[in-house]
Amino acid sequence: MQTVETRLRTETITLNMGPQHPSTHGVFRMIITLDGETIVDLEPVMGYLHRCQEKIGERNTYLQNIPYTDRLDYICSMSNNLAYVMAVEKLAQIEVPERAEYIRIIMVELTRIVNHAVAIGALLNDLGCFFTPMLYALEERERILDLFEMASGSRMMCNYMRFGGVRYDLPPGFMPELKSVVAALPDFIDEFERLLTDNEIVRIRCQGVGILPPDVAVGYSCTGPLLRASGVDYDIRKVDSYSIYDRFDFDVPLGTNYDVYDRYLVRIGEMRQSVRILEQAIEQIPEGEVSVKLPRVFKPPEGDVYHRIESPKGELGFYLVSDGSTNPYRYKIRSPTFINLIVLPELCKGHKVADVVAILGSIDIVLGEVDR
Amino acid sequence: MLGLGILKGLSVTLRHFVETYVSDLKRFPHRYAPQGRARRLRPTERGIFTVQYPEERLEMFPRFRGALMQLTNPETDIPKCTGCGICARFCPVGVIEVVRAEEKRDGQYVPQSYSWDLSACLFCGLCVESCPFGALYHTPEYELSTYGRQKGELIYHLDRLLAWGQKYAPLGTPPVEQEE
Amino acid sequence: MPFLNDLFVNLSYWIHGFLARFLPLWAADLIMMLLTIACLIVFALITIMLINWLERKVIGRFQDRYGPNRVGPLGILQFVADAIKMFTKEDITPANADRVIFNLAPVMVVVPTFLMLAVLPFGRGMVAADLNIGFLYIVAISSLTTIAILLAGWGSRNKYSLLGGMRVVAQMISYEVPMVLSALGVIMLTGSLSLVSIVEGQSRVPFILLQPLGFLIYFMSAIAEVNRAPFDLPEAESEIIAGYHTEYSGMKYAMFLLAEYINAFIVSAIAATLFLGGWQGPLLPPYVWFFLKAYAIYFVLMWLRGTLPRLRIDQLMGLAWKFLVPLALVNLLVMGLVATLTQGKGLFPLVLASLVANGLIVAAVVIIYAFAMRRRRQVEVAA
Repeated sequence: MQTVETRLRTETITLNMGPQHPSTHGVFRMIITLDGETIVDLEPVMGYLHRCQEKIGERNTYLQNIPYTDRLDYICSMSNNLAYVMAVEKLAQIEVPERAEYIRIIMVELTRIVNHAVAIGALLNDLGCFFTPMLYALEERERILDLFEMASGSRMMCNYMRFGGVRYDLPPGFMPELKSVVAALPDFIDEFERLLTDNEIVRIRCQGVGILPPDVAVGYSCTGPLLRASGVDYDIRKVDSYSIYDRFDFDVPLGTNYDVYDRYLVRIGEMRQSVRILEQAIEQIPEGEVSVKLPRVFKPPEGDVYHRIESPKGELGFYLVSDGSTNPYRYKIRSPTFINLIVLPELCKGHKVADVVAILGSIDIVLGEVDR
Repeated sequence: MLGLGILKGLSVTLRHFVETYVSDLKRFPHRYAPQGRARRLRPTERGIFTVQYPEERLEMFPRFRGALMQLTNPETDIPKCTGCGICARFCPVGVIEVVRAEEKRDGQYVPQSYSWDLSACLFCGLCVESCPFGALYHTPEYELSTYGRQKGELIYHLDRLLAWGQKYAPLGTPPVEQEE
Repeated sequence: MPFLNDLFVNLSYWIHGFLARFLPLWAADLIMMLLTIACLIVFALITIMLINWLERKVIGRFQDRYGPNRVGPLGILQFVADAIKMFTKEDITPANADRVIFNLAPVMVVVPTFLMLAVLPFGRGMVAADLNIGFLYIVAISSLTTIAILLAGWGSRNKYSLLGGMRVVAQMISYEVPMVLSALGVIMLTGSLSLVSIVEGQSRVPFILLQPLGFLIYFMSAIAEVNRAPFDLPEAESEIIAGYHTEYSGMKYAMFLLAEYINAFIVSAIAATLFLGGWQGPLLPPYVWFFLKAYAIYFVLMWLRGTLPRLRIDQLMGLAWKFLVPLALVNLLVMGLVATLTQGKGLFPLVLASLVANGLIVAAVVIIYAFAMRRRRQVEVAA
């Protein structure tokens, strides 16, 4: 008996997951080509939030750029501040006092916890939990934002770092409050894990979805938790250590199955490691000055510099070219999520439509950073 | 395995549910914080986390970057601001416009006009940081909405800033001095 | 309090007697029927107000916040505000939509819901129509909702609505099978399809003690039937295909919402009737017990909605056909055996044997699952 295989001529549908959508984390558009339920091609369209930050950076003086860096990745403003400020310090060869370094590390690690909590909450919100893990994450975030407000005066757009240190010293009530928040954080992470990690539905939705092999990840120059969940041991804090990270003892969690579930686990692991760093920093922080007196009109020497840090989303880098005047000649931002997004079509091919949302949530984009 | 993970997750949510009622019972019969001054829950406390806004408000920290104010010198009753325009130059957006008066008052320069555009201000505090005379500071005011912005309702002039300066004068010192 | 227990029954007799004085008997009967229908409709509307309010407050409490608390004391009038909003929204019909089907679909979704209310036993003697095929009636009527949703998806002339509608139909049809099979276990024990006799058959012991596994299967299938979390993919907002009710606005959308909430309540009421003992209970009047039990099950539905993410459509269907249907069939077989073997031997052997049998089924499932997992892990390690 012969079986005859007939090929039906099918057409592919083009679906537009438009700029206004509840789960694209901002104004982000995807043009998806479907064959039935399976994705054949995906084209990300960005640029809906482009605000010309790099050109504005050329108009501003170096000091005036700091509030603008707050607004790049608006969830992690302290990290963005740090990256820019360290780039300028590298350019102008400014030494930073000890206490200021410790304060910076504390702020950046708190930001990392905030970012990962919000990222996991947003991922689960897209998967369908009716906002509950997101609100639990936001509760912890509120406490940490209170700390930021105590120190810098503002919750999200902190504008706290300056060249050569930080803006003000920490207020007297900060350290006890920080200690109580850090003491309660492991319980919060445990509760979050208890809610989500063993949940069968989360596992079914996330395991085996969006697998990114390590060579592909390195080939697309992904960084951050996306890369580490693909098994590549590359954390800039260890590899190309900056500030005083070499004084702290922490591990880098890696993923083994390279899927969405591993990215979730890597973020939880990084939250725990941040708590470790915070505990060590609280113990070791010395007294002293927190800033360096700079001339009112700040003119760094001519030259160019590229400095990168491990922001919660990946490698955030600033490339500055100075021509000796008060404004930068070229101000370029290497934003991690913009480059991580390029791998999205690769991850989504062959999956169902419902998985796109999970994969996008696991890459953890913030449009302020993608579009600048 | 086979539903145990789901049961663990359900127990977490149920615990939150029960504890909101327990915390409500502890506060009974007051629904809102006394005198409308709410405080954030301590990290070890559980219960309703939200602040019921118009009836209760959170206290702002001393360094909170709210609306601006201009201080007046208490002895001479002349604004501390000399109209030098450094704040306008340091502003990243350019919301401050200062014009220095030509005649001095009692031997001190004074501004002829000072306007601050609330609608474009980033509340970054660079102007406060840069004022060499200590005339410009932040207030805890954040309820600044108006019904429109066409009639210049969102542009504050020197008189309003000075009035706030009178009201919040104790906050008109650098934060580090305040806390000592 | 015998007065309170039979309050509504006595009231209806009194009204009937009052009417029979002036009018011929057939007219009095007709008016009683119309009155009952009006009562049921009013009850449905009040239920939906209560359920909507309860849902928002309870889910708020799960998330460490109050629910709506501004409109009216404790936010009770929030539904009124939402209803006014829905009345005043513009009623948009897509340009190429098939008008007849488009306008018919919301009505066709709501009508079966109200029809199902007719056979629910709200209390002792408080059932609108004591059909002796009560449960079959409910299964048949709930299938009508399926075609109404397909009409909604088709009439919108929107390929994504159509896809969403087809998914819903697939889901609802698949989950009817384990629902009926698990309810058959209960019906076997009472020997009757009438909901009233099922409730009366539970006078000694509620059937959940005899068939906990049947209850779980029925519960899961019922949640999938009414498209509640975690099976609410068809109406998920964060998926691309926004579902069969994308193109509806205003009052028609309100009809879909009404139908969804009342369906959820009816399904929890039926679960209470079949497995928890209906209106039976000490001290309180029967109708109060009925509502307590129905709302307790509805609370579990809200709890699941607040906690769990949703399943993808292929995982949904796999769960139904590969897990629930075989389990329901095994449950039916084993329960039938237990019921026949312990027939006439009294209550205690029945309960004991049922619990033991359920435990054996669960143990068998766990062992098979562990075995399958080990096989899969070995395959993964070897590969």
